[in-house]
Amino acid sequence: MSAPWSFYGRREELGSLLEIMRRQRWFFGAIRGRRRIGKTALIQQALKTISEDGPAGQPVLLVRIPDSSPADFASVFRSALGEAGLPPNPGTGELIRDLPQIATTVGSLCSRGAIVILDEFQVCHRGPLSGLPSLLQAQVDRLQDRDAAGGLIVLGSVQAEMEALLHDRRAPLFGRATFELTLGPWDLATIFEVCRAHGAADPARSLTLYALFGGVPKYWRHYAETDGLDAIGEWEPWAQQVCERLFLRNDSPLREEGDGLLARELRRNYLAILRTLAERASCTHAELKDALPELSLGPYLNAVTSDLRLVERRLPIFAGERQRRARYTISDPFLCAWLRVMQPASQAARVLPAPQVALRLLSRLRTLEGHAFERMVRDATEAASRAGVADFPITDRVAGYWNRSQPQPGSVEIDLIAWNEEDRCVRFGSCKRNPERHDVASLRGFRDHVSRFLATAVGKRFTGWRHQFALLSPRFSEQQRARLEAEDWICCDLVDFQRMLRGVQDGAAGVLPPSPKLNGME
Amino acid sequence: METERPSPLTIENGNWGATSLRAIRGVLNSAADVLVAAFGKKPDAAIQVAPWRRAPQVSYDLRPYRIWLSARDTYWCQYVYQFAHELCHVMTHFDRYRDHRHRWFAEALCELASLFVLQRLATVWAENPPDGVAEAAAYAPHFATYAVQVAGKYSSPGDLPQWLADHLPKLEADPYVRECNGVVATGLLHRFLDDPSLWHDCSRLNCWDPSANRTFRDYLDAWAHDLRGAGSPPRVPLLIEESFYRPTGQLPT
Repeated sequence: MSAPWSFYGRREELGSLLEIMRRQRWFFGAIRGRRRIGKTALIQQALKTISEDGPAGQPVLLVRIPDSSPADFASVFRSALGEAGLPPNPGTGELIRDLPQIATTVGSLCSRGAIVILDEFQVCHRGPLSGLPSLLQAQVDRLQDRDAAGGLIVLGSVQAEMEALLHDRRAPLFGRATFELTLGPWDLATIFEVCRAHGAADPARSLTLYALFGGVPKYWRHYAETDGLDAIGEWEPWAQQVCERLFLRNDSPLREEGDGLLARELRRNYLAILRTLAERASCTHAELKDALPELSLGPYLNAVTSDLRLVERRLPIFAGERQRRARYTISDPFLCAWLRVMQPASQAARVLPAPQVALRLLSRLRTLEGHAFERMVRDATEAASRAGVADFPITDRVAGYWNRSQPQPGSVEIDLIAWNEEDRCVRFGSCKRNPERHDVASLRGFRDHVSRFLATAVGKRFTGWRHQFALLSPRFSEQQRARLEAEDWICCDLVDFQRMLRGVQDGAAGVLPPSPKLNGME
Repeated sequence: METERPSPLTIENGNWGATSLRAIRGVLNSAADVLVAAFGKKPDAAIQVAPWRRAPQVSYDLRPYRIWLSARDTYWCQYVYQFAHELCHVMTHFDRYRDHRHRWFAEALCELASLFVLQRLATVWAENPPDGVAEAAAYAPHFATYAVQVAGKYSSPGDLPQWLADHLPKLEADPYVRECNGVVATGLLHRFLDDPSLWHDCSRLNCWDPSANRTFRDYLDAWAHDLRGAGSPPRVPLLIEESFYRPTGQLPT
């Protein structure tokens, strides 16, 4: 039976926010992160936790700014005041009708110790509400000079617009924020914790859900709150039901999510880049240029990579920044799954029965999982090492190696290279979604690729080091593991990573790794 | 609503992770209650507890005392383990004499305090869970499990006198050899659990200048002398002598 939904992970961010709120000193903060990443949930959890410290909590006003007119925003603002049990016109004594009155009311509430939270603040970047930041600037400057105990927090999901509102030197609120938090996806330890709590601890299921949702809490919550999925025994019908019920039915909660997300965050040219990357899993700059000849690629690629952080640029191990073999991939697993699997399936489901579409998409889902698995292994290797619980502690980021833009006969391709400079030990990894695929030919090929890599100028850096060969899959059977380990392969699966990272989580339940006490004064 | 009671503890604001200050206060107060009751006296000044990223520590020369913990979130076992250790330093007047060769013994005693408080809280929380800590009674058994896990890291030499003879030079050179501190702590744990009033003796530590004690044996003698002078029989110095010395009263060579 699946546990009720709870607040997961984010302990560091929550601790920071609580520390700021408890200071009883004026603050103006910004919390950024993609849609559904849990910005509001973080605030709600902070307010809940702080309320446990004492009965005299600060008044809180949470307003979601509509992407519409000042008059509509004023109406939403008035409703929010009513919901929060606050008077309809604190401060001014007049009915709130426009942006100046909203800003004055925000200032008045904050000066009386209230915490005001403005969600979807990015809509103030342009359009009819673009006057609000300068009106707020006056209030923020006034409150910073006073001994006010309240605070203003703005939340925003569109990275580029939040960046412009807070970090552009010409922006009214530039340099005003007393704190900023950026929420990324959940880490793997949290994802495994959620999988355990919601009937998806089986590695095959963890992988599927990771491939579909990445570390975005809201999507996981939709999964957790869909009845009956954890009771389905076999992976195939389970995966089919997950896709059908979450994405493909008329009432599926994520049916419009991908398109909505893309429409809000992106313009057409960005979308073309993402679609091309999704189709091919990864592309070099040259390949993207070939695929999109009409596009002036540079600025758009730079925007989706640096500003929007939707695309990741990966380099082969020790390659220079200008290396042409750099591969671009979509860094948000949900977007990748949407563009590659769910969007076409969702379109098909408009004219075909959803169960039939769900059955057909499974092969594409498996391919998607193959790529997601590599990412998961890289993240897990780094997370376990960071937490001090790894079987192979590393001294640098996990990398890969390829000597061609795309795999082809004669190319050298290594999924994972992790190393420990101090121990002079390097681990090469081969990832297969299906453990049966670690067969004789594949193992021979893997060793051959490593030998050829070690003969390169880059690979020679590991001359004289100990070399380990690791095979990675979601789950090895006991027989598979015994057979491979007898041949000196190291087998590592998601069960191993779950066990390693569980130590990081278990402290919350009491069974902890020993408290480190290194060499304090006394 | 938190039960108002006089407490020498203040929990400072900081990044404690995902938990309320009230819960931390509840946990640390219950740990302090155990050790204060065992010592039979209160700390001689108030104590402020604050979070930080480094190894736990109590600062020299500050009153109120300032204890820094690295425990976070609701990892209550870690809070108790770290705090009991630092509180034991406070109860044993850690900053009166700080440059002598017997500081390893204080470290061992503070490790013992951690294990002692963890074991005692397993019972205390089951019977009388603190206010403000969610599901405290259900959490209680974790303290004992954790204490056993920590103690299990340390070796249990069959011949303690021989072990001490072998390791004393190392301990006198570096008081923070945790594995060795732990061996001494686990060697004494059951005696202290059976008779918590043994902690009374420890409250006299650093009431004389240990730098004048050339050997550990001299240190134990000086401790015994101090206790007799205060009108108490020297039980712990004798217990250590029984446990870590040959009947001749000498360390093995």
